[in-house]
Amino acid sequence: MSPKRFLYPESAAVLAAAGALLGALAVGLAVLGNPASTGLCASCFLVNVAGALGLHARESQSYLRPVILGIVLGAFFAASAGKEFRVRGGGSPVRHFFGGAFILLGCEVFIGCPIKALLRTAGGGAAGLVGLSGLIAGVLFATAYLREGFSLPAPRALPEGAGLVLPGAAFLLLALSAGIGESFAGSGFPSGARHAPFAASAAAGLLFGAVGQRTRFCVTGSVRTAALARDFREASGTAAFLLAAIAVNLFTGGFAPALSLEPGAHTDLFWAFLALAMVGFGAILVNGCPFRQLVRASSGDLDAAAGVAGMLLAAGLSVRWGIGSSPAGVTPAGKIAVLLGCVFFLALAAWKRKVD
Amino acid sequence: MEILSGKRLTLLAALLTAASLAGALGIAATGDLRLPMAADARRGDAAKPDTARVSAEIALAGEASVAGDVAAALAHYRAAALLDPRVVDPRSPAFLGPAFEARLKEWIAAQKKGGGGAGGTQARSDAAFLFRRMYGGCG
Repeated sequence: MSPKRFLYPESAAVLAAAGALLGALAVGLAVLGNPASTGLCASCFLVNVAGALGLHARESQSYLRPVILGIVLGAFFAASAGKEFRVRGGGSPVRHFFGGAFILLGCEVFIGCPIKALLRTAGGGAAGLVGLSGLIAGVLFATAYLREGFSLPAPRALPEGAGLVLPGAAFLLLALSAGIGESFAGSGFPSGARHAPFAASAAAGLLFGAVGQRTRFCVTGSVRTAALARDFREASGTAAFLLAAIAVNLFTGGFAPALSLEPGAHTDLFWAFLALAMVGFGAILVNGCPFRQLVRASSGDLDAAAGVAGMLLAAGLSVRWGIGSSPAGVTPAGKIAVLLGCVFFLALAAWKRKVD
Repeated sequence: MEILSGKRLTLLAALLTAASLAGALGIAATGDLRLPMAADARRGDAAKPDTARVSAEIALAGEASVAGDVAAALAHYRAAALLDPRVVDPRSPAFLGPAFEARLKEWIAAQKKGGGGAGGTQARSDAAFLFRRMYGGCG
């Protein structure tokens, strides 16, 4: 079999195999010590990183996640190896910044990014499934705007050095974490964030980033492509992710179909639906969910890097302003953040509709 | 989705925008929109809860448990967890301990079977809250 099939994956079979690998790996990290259904969650991990960098001070949500740093480096190396590391930007950095911020806040109200919605569903969580339904509804609504000609201004080529800042920072932080240990990473047990061993997390992160970059893995993007172009290859990767996660959960005893006993979840189903509907809608308008924004930023897209900066800032504010939900339920500040996110993305969609 | 285009899309978007703004304003006016105090936000988890109240709730829960009143025990444990989430965090020194964890699982199992003695709807809600709080989250 030609290695090109894996370096430049296009077939549904290879994309499904990659999705299954990511799904199994994500559940594996939860088995190794991450919180339940949180083997891979870009938004939760960004909240943890924000805490480790001092943007908030909740100990139990502070940890310089090696997975996030690994994703950045893995995507950077994969893009470089595939000659796809192209530094560009200046198209819509402000829209990406605020869009990224609202997407992160929506994820925190739901408690998880679109990938965690898959993992929560794979654990038998009904609230996860409701969130996933909201995500799909939001993406389908966004495709109406894409059909009407919505597009953001195209980025332009920029000097290569600018694209090396994020991978360089990730490398430095990962090296310091490896050298100095958990005191630097900000997760000193017993009260710090739950996590899998450092080496396993970093290795998994590298793989997530590399595979994510080569396959363009994106939950929202796969729904968009299926709805717009009737092309189900990307969706086969997402479906394989879900099925593999269910299979591993069944094998490890992590599958428990129950609404009220879903770990870390709340039972405000309306807000779970609406929060991820806003995330799905917004993610299509700014070209990607939190994981995809990270991968794009690591491949030289500085507009996506602005989105990552917005997400990181919002991650800190989410804790400081009490926006993020907890098992006790959704907070008033969280509800307002979701509704303002809807207003922001509706305005953005209307503004950039039918652009020549 | 072709049905959503042109003026219909514009109208729906306008309605959604208006509803979202009205909803946000309504929640801001009527919701309990208190931001954490700046000092508390800086201290984060280190912010000290009212330990006397937490201890009192835990003591009441223990007494109710011994007396076989599962519903009251769960209500007091929930009150304690709301005051100080660390009491249901297995990583924290303030954690109620493996014995509490085992007892909670027994009560949930009894509730699933529908047996008496494990409380009614509120008790199920309290047990589920404690379970979700103990095992999940973003950190």
